[in-house]
Amino acid sequence: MTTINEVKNILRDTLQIGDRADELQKDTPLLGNIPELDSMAVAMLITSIEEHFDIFVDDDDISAETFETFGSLCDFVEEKLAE
Amino acid sequence: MLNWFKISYAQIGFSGTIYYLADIILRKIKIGSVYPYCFLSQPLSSPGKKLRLSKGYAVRKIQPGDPRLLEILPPAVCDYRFEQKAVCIGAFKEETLTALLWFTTDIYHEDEVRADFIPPSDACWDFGVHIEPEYRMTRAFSNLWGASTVIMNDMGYEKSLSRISAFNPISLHAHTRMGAKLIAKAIFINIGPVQISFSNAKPLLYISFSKSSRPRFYFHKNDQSLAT
Repeated sequence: MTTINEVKNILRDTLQIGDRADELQKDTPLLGNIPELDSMAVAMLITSIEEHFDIFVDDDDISAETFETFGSLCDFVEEKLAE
Repeated sequence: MLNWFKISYAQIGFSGTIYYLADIILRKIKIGSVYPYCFLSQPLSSPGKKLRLSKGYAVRKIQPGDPRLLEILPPAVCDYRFEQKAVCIGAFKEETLTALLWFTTDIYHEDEVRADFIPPSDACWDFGVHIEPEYRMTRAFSNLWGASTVIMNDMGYEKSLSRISAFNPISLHAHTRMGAKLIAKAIFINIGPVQISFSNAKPLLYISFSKSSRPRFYFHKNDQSLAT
């Protein structure tokens, strides 16, 4: 499974957005487009990503830009995997 | 109009849409408002998914008069909350106050409508969660909530109750994802000086004609989860 599909599944499960996850493209905005992505959800999403990919995300690694689009989140995960 | 109704219906259901429409009309003609509340019980020991705390944050109680708190909330709001013996918890990152929440262990005097909410002996009542805008996409909230639940646990509480507007389905879903269960509902209709409340928790019906007349909602240890 590609990183994109894995991140898509994490978003589907964590945010409980169902079939809307299938419509996510790399340029799909997350902030402002997925209302479920609030402060509580961000914390759970990051924890899920850390557990699934076995990576460590530092507080300073994440910002609003990380969650700007589905692509920016996938790029962030791939960068962390490459470290 | 039909499209608005469809969107609203999908988000908050038929009754929610009717309340929302009534609220819009009452506010438009400036004679009143409608507040539908959902009462939630959040277990403090199993917040759905375990959130990791990070070392970059320090979470601690905030004392009355702290200038960092007064930069976020008006003094009158802080005074009203501290006067009812509420505890304010803040998440600090390098001494910057990034997020805060309040909880009370006794009666919570609601400030949006005329009502008092009393949690059972094994629960506190949390309210006023605020995350500074630039920290909303960070771990500020998870650090705040995670450390606050430890503080509440240490004080002997097993759960925290709160009220969420039924007009805010996103917040309701967010709480549900954290493991909260819906235990009661109430609606407050304000028309001029009169407030009428209906609830499935006692008092089932209460009509208030003045500011000093406030229904008191007592919640219980064995309150069961309602079907959503």
